[in-house]
Amino acid sequence: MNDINQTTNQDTPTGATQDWNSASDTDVMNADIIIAMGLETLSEAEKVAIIDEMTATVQLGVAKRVMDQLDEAKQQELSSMMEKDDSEALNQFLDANIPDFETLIEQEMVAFKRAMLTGNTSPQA
Amino acid sequence: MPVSAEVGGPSEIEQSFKQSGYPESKPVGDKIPNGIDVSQFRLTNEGLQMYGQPIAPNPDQLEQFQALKKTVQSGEWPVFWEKHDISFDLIHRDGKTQRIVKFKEPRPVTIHPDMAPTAKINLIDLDSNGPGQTRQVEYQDINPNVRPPVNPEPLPFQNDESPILQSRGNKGGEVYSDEAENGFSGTQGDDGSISVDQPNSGPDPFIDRPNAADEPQPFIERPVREPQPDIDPGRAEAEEASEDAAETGDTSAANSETGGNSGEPEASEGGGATSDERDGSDTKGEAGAETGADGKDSKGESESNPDKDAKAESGDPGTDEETRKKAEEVKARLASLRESIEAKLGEDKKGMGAWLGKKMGGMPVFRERAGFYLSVATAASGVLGLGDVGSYLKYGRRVLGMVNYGNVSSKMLMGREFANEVPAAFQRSEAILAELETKPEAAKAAELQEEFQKLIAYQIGLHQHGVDLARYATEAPKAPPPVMSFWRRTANAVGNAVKESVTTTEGRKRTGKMLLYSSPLIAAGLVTGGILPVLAAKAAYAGVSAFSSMEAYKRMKGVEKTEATPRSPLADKTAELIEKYQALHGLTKPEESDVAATAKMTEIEALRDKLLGAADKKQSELKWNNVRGKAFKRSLYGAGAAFAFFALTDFFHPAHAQAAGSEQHRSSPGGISNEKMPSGGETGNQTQFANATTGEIKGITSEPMSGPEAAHHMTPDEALKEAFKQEPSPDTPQKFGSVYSQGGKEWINLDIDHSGHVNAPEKFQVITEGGHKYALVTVADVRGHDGVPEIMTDHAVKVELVNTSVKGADELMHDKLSIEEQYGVLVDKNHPDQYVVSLDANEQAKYGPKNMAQAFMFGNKRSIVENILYKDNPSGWEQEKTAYGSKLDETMNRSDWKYTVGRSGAMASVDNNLSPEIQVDWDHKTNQLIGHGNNLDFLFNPTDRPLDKEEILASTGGDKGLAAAIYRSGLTFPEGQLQVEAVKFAGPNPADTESALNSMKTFSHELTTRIDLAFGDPTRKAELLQKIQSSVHDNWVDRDVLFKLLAMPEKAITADQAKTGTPLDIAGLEKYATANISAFNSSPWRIPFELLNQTVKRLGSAITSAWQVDKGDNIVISVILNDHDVKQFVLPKVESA
Repeated sequence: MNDINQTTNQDTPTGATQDWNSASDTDVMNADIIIAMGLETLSEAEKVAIIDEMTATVQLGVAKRVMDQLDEAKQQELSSMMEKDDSEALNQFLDANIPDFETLIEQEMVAFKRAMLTGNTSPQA
Repeated sequence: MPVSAEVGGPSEIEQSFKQSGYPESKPVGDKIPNGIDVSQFRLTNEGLQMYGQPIAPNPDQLEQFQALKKTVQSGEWPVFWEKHDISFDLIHRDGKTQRIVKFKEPRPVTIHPDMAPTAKINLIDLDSNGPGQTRQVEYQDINPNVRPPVNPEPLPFQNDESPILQSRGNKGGEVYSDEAENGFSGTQGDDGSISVDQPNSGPDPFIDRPNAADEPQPFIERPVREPQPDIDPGRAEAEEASEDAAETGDTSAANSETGGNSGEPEASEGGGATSDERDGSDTKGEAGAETGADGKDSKGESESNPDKDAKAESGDPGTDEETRKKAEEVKARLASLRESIEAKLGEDKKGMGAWLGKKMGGMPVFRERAGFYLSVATAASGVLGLGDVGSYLKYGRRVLGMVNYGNVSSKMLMGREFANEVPAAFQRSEAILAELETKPEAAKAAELQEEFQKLIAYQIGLHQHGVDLARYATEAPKAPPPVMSFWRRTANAVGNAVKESVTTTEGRKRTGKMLLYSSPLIAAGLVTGGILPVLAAKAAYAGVSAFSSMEAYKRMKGVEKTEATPRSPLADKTAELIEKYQALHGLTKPEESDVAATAKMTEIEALRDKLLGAADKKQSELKWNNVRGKAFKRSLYGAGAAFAFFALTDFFHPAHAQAAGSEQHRSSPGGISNEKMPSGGETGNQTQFANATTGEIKGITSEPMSGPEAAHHMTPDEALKEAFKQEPSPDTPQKFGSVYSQGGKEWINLDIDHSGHVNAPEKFQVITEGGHKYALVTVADVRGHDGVPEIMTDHAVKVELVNTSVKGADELMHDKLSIEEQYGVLVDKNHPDQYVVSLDANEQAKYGPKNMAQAFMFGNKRSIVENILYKDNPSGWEQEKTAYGSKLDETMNRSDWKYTVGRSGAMASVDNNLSPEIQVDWDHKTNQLIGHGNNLDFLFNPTDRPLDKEEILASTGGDKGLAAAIYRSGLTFPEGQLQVEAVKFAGPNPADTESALNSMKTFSHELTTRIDLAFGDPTRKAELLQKIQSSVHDNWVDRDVLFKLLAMPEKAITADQAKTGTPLDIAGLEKYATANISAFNSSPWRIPFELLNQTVKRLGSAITSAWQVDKGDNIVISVILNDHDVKQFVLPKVESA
């Protein structure tokens, strides 16, 4: 039985176990998290539910990263948008204040997946 | 108990289908009134399916489908239908029958589990025609193992206002009960929903099973059942062997000696078996084994996986304990991660973080990337995509399900499966061709035609819901043009999208093909393009989409190198097959045919002039280049399409097929003109074209053509003359406003497009209902003057002909349209008894009773926008008539203007040749105004947005009546105010550039001339293309750069040309406009002054000069912006500015 932390990476042709601690960001990125964590036999509903939860968590993580990059004034501005629930303003705000948003997402995604795959969930990058 | 995924096995009909290799080409089974072959549906624990496909291809069904999936998983029976009221009869094991539910909207139905094992369900269509029209079909394929959850999650539409059926629903209202007879009863809610009572008292599984959660999982893991190519005659045996093997655990039986292409990847009775989709490789049936992600032979795995075999033997219903533990671990990790993040955020920021995360989740940029990485589509899988891939949870090559996002998901599903299906279909067609080549010519042609039609019907049917399949299965034999169109467009779209591959800075390589297959738009385009030529333009758009995905990918990942990749084998194969097909039929190559089609159009235009006569010619030419002319032009193209169809139909006639190769047939442009036809023809007339190909005109055509039957044996010239026949036959008095008979149907001629040509009326079918006559007017006939929403494309306005008396010709020339002030209602153009009552969130029509149908008044087409699109609670027919025009609807959304007019002035800055085909949308994120049309996008100056509601209201001094009139008039977007800033090309290569330039020829005579001149010289052409390509950034090329390269340093209407007449004082323009707004307060002339005023206010700093030219009773004021942009206003002659 594979350990959840050393599961089969579907990208590994030999089916060799993958040490996610030492895996490259690219490997982590390319990994099918469902397969890598050995969940492929779950029901579709359960898979979807897990992916939903994962997505929400990543979003929260990205949100934290965004807020980390904002000074107090900008956070206040963000707070104002939240009160108005102004999506359009938020889009513009992020465009203006988080210039490398895509990279940030990518980094967060890697961090998230690695944490999930290794079980090291305490510190977020 | 071992459980089959589909208890009862395939129905007889489906089994027959499987064995035949093709769907039945004739109606099979019971059919409900609108032609839906319900016998093809199966109710399984995957939901309502057809041939194993979930039936949710339309955006408006997605939500239902999602709900349906959840419903299934929560143990309730999924029930949904389209457009019809449905009743279900449950037939209990003892034979008792209970009418369960009658509803207008899709709703889940909770069924007592004890009923399930042997229950049958009768689907009864309760169409508006009444119970007398209903049919019943029994369903026995009911999985008995679905159990209701202890605490089922609320469904998306489950709320106080929308009660779902409960096992013991207690809503008031009509009680459905035949308890005395059958022992069942139900209760109908106030909203028409029905609750079902259990037949017998006893423990309620929803309530009385507190420990149900600890019970064995009732759900059987069942793979998404993939469409089967059925190209192998031995497949059925392979399936049987597979199923046998599933029962016995003997996998050797599944490895069929038939050499079957593949076994059905059904879940076996062993359970826990999943099976990935097949890609046409040799996938042997397996029992309790998991097919590899690539669909390769899984026999070895099956045999070497004792765990799974054991599970199969034990009947383990799904997930093993080990996986369960892993799942719990994953959940724990997730919770830990979330807590960690929240802790770092702190209590004070946690809320903001959650909000921000949630908001970002809805942002495309995040969605795409999050979905991309989470959904784990890998390079090896070949299904990697960016756009909307996040909508899907995938593993391996198999789409597991939707996550959260967007209706594109369903298209994605279609696209994925479609992509897999195409190679198999090609394989099949290859075999057909090889076989046919051994047969005599005549038989060859006939058989080839038949086989291709079956093939295409099969392909499409596998990926469409039942309506389309039924339609194609029955009508495809008459529809060669769509077949050809489909194949050609498939080839084009695929070919266009696979020409490039990129290697990212990280060393990953992606090809256009990968992105293509993952693109929901290409999927939608390919499928819809094949279904109806009227939608075929989407295929081309899909090609753009694939490139967009590529561009997005490159931007995201960074590109180390970009290189051309060989044309995809798929595209090559398509082209090869088409070529063979054409060769067999004596058709010319597409390119040559295009030339022929072009020549034929020239001939048509010449005939037009001849028919219109010399006196009318000048007027015709004048109108040819304006919006009215466009409408007429469309009708000509439509006629051209009709002509093409006639010719092709003629060709396909068996008698003529024998003579394939005759010169007449070789010169036929049939099947080709469809692509050549400008978008106006596509959008406006291809419907008729498509309908015509079905062998009957569906009844909604504005084209002056006769039915295809009548033209079946015509020569092309005869067909052409028929299409433009001017002299009425003795029994067909073709007068304006009068109903006359022709071809066994009734018609009426009107001048609804205001072309003023009594010799070229629009012709509408007239239907009679309840003693009243109604004309059916399609969108092609009501568009052009002002904005008509997209929704109109598939619909018609059904207007009662209350007064069909014939007006005098002179009067008509002024009054134009005898039904001008009448109301109509919006109906499905192919089903005039289906009334549009509202739109769903995806702006797809919802249908309902006639008294709720949406009103449409020809005198004010803009009303359709208000009536249908922008009212939260659309009023009914009578209310609408009463309230119409009384005030500006306060519920209108600020952004709604995008449907109004945009296109009316979209191309004005190019050449003032208004292009009603350009649809303009406002991208709120980028604040860009983008026009779409002719397979190109046009980027406009954001400042050119039309007036919004507030501005209009302000401009009228608070006069809501006038504001409403302006808003509805379409004049919120003044002609000439839009400035094209850039043009987006389909792709960064010479062919695409050339294609784009060619499509632009329809916009401007001068542009056409310039392009033709440039392309006349091969050296110049190559140079031009190269320069344009080098000027393209992100597929956009600046308009001015483009014009410069085309030797058009200024716009077609240049600033210099506009600088004539009397120069005006810029500073006085606003005062001049304001003064005249007051002076013309009660006159329509107020509007252009308002527009001038708005232009000055908005763009004042950019105005470098203004000029006035006298034009008889009017003046034209040209406002020059930045010395090179021109906006012109036609105004009444008053005191000089």
